[in-house]
Amino acid sequence: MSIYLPIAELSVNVFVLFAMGAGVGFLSGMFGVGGGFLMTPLLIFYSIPPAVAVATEANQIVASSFSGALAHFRKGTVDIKLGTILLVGGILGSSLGIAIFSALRSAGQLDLIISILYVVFLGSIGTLMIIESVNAMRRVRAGARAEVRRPGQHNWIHGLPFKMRFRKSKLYLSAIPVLVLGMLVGLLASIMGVGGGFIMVPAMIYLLRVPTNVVIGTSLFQIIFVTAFTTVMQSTANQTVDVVLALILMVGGVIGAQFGAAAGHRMRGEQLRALLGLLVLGVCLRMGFDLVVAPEDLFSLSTSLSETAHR
Amino acid sequence: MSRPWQLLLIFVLAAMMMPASTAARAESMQIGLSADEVPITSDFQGTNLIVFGTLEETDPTALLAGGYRVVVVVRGPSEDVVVRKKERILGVWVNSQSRRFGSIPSFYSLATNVEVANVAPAQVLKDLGLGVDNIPMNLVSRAQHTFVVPAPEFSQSLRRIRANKALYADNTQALEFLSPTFYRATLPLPSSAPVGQYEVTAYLFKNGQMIYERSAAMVVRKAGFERWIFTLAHERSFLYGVMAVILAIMTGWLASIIFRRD
Repeated sequence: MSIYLPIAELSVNVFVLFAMGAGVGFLSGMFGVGGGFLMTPLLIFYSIPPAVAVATEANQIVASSFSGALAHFRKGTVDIKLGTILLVGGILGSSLGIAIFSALRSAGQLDLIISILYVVFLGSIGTLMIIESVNAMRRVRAGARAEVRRPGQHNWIHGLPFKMRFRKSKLYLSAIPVLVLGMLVGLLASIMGVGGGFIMVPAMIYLLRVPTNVVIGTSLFQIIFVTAFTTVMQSTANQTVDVVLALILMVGGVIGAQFGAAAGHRMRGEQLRALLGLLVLGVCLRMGFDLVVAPEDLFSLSTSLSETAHR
Repeated sequence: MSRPWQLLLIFVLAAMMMPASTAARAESMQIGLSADEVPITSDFQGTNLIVFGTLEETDPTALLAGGYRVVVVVRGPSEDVVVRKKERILGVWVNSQSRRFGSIPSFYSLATNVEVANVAPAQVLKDLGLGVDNIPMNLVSRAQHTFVVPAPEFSQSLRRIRANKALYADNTQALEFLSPTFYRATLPLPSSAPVGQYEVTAYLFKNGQMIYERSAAMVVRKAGFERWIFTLAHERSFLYGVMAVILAIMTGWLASIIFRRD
């Protein structure tokens, strides 16, 4: 059954999109990630214009992060104070990102920058995840504990000024790295169409030393607001949010996530991380391949933004 | 009916249509459209646009000799188009050079019953912009392009890409005469037809010279729900963004109720 997407301006198959939403939802439920970094490339491979894919994906992440965050609120595993400071940084980063997005789009370099960012981020994070999980598996084989705890360790970040107390996270920490991290994630959210959980979660654990139990809830809490802000900004500045596309993906995504979460409970942490790392590297290679292989047509058209915007 | 009889009938018909005085002859032509509004709905798969009309005040000798030709052109709304060329930089394919062309029709479809080149001399066709190869491509000079010679490969690529998407087409079999003076053109409008105001023009040629032209307006617009969404997104974009967020929150909230695990 084909349906016409009013903003992407093309006809697509509803079931293919629904299956994509459910598939990515399954993986995100299983691995506990947002899935934006998988969905945006998939949409681009499915010939949705990158500008529409990125903006629409931000809208979808609002839904998935909201339903995830609700569960964490019930369990009381959200540090609202920490989340709010991350959020302030996130809004700043997202505003900056939208401006960069518009400028790149009119310069004709948006697709290229999106691809390069994906290749760089997915490549480095995928590699790190595989190395880390393989090491963990080796330790398990050697009979040691899989999780390495680093209690009370401090790094240079803990020497910065403007310290604040975060009760829920049991941290006394400078606001600067929190704001900077929030900003970086907000920037990625608007340019790459991701929630940024895959950067936020490791950074909170390894750099800020936030206790693992509040990391996911707090990260989801701030992702809701940053992606909601990004959705409104993309709609206003670029008119690239397609709600019909977003709704199909949302419904597929939330259903898939339920089954994924159930499947994830039956697997071991380090195995999950190794699998996710492989998946991330796979997407990275696919995007990188498209960058270096000679395109079928060297020429491309784009209609004037300035004119269409004023009509 | 054999051919001489056909010719005689045509002659009689033409003679009946002849005005009393043939001293000052001025041919004219009517134009009609099968629809002046084409709605694009969620299941829109493209459609055929039918353009028809009659020749009036024709010269029977020219009519008999086949001296008249009709060309129908459908032009979509104009816009500026940037054509970009990719180049390999450090192993990666990057958009490098670009040219901007002004007032380019977003859709162009022509219908005749002969090869376009046989309608009129090349210069006449060029002046009227008849045929995909004759669509005027005017370079919009911007600071960095002022001294750049317009590379024809950019305008040719524009024509080629649009033709591949069925947005530009010369349909040389799409027009037929149902009687010596009654023509009908059938032009396919693909599902990717851009929305906006279209202009349909019929040109009448006599012995290779354009003697009369007549235009009619047509509009292609999104219909129903698609139209509502598109208009909202472009005219009330802030409200649209807020609604998209509310929709997402509702979906997420519903999902967490339906699939509550505790």
